[in-house]
Amino acid sequence: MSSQRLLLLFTLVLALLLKIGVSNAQESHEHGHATLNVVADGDQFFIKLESPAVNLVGFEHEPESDDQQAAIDKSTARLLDYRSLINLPEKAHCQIVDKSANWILDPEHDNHAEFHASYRFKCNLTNLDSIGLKLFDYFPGIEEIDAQILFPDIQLAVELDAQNKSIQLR
Amino acid sequence: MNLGLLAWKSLVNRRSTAILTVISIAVSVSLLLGIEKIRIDARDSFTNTISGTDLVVGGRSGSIQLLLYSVFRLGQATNNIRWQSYKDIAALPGIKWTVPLSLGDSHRGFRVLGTNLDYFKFYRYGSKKALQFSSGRAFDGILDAVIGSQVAATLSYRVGDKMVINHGLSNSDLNAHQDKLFRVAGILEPTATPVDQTVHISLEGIEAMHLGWQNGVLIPGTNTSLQRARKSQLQPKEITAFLIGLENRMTAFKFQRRINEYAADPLLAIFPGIALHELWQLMAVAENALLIISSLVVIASLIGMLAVSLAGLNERRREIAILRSVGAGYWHIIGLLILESILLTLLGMTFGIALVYLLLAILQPVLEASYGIQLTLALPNQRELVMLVLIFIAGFMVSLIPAYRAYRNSLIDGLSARI
Repeated sequence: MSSQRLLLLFTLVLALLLKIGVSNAQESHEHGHATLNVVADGDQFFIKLESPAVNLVGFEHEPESDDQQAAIDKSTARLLDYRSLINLPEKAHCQIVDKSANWILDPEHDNHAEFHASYRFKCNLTNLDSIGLKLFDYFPGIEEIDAQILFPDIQLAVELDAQNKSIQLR
Repeated sequence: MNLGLLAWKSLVNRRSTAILTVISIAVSVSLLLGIEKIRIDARDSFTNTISGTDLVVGGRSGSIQLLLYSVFRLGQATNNIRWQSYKDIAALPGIKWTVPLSLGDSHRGFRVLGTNLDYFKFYRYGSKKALQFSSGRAFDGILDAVIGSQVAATLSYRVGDKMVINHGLSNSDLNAHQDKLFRVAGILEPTATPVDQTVHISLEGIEAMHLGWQNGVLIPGTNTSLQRARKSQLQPKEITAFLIGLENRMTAFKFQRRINEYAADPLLAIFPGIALHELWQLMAVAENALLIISSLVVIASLIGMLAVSLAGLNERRREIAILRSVGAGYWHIIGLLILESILLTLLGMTFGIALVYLLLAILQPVLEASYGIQLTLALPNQRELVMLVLIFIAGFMVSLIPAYRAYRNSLIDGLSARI
C-alpha cells in the first residue's frame, strides 16, 4: 500500500472518529432546503434553483384560493427578477440570455410541489470570481441551499445560508 | 565587542545545551513543514489522478466511496452495475464516450482492472494527459494484460511475460486462476497515479478468468480451457463502475439526475471534482488535527528553549553582574538575552528547513519509483513562509521572559551575587 493511501486512510479514519459527515447534495425535497446547480462552459453559465414550494409560499397543494394563487404568482415573479436574487461581479459583464421560473406539482406525490428557476448568463467567466445570492432575504423559508458548482477549472460542493450567501470561485 | 558576537560566544560557551535546543527546534520545524509538504503533494496527486471525465457512475453508495473505489482503487464496491444498464446509458444521445471499469481481482498485490480499449483512448490524468505505452501496446487478445509502470518495475515484467491473476483481492495461491495465464501485452509510462499500480485486462478477460468458478472456488473437473472460454459467452454480466465524457458540459446536471433516477438499476452518478472537494472537506478536520499537533510540538520545543534559558540565568548572575560592571547598560543585558534566543530559534529553523529538504531529496526518487508519489522540492509556499515567520515571532516572544528576568536580577544583584 502506498504512503499516499496510508495517509488517506489514516485521515479518513480520524475524520470518521470525529464524526464529521459530509452533506449529500443529492437530497431532494427536504423542507427548508433548496438545491442550486451551477455549470459553466465556454462563455456561458447556467444556474438552476430547485426548492420545495413550502419554502416560498407555505403550501404544496393545488392553490385553493385566490390568495394562494396570488402567492404563487408573486413568488414566480420574484424568481424571474434575477437581478434582485443573484449578485454577479460587474467586471464579469454578465448578460442574461434566458430565464424561467415555474411552480411544479409533483404528479407522483400528493402535497409535493416545487419551484424550479433557471437562468442562463453570458459572461466573461475569467472575471467571475463570486456568485452572491440574495434569495434568503426574500424567502426566509429557504434556510439552507446545497450548491454544486461545475466550472472548467473549479468544482465545488458548498452549503449556503443566510450568514454565508456567496459562492467564492477563486 | 558587539552584542551579536557576544551572544554567539555566550552560546558557544554553553554549546551542549545550545546544540540540544537547536536540535529540538529543528526537529519540530521539520515535522511541521514535512506534514505541510506531504499534505499538499498528496492533494496534488489525488487531483491529478483524473481529468476530462465529466461523470463517474457506480452502484448506489456514497459519492466519496464511489470516487475512492472507482478512480483511486481504494476500498470495494458494494453494488455493481448490470451490463444492460451500462449499455443503455452509454447509448444515450449527448454522451460522447464511456469507459467501463470492472474491479475485484488482484495480481500479487496489484489491483486488476477490467476495461476496454476506450480506457486507453479517453482516460486522462494531470492536465488532460493521455496514457502512453513505454513498450508493447493495448490488449487485443482475451488473455492480454497491460500493466502500469510500477507493476512492471516491482515484478520485473516485460512484454511477453506470463502472469497468473488471483480471484478476489487476497494474495494466496489457493485462489489463483492457475488455469488461465495472462500475457503482458503492454507497459504504460509512469503517471504518478494509481494507474501505475494497476493491471489492465479486457472485460472478456475477466469473464474468461471466472469461467468454471462458482462462489469463488474452482469446480473440480470442470474443463476451463481457453478454447472453451472463447466459445462460451464472454460478454460481461456486470461491471463495477464507468466513466462518462459528455458532448456538452452544460448537460452534466441533467445526465446526473437522469442516471440517479434510472429505474432499472439503483445507480449513482458523481462529478469527480465535486466528490474530491467533499473529500477535502472531510479530510480538513484530520489535516487540521495534524497541523495542531505539529504546531504544539514546535511550541513545546520553544518552551524547552525557555526552560534552558531560565535555568541558565541563575548560573549567569555573576556573569551579568560583571558585564554591568564593565559598562554594559540594562539594554545590553536585555539585548544579549534576546539575541541568544533569536539565534537559537533561527539556527533551529535553518537546520529544520535543511532537514526537510534533505529528507525530501532522499525520499523523492524512492517514492516516485515505487509509490508513484511526486514530492516537489519547491521553495516554501506562502503558507509555509507564514508558519516560519510565526515560529520566529514565537521565539522572539519567548526570549522576552529570560531577558526581563535578567534585567530584574541585574537591578538587585551587585557583584556580591551568590551562586
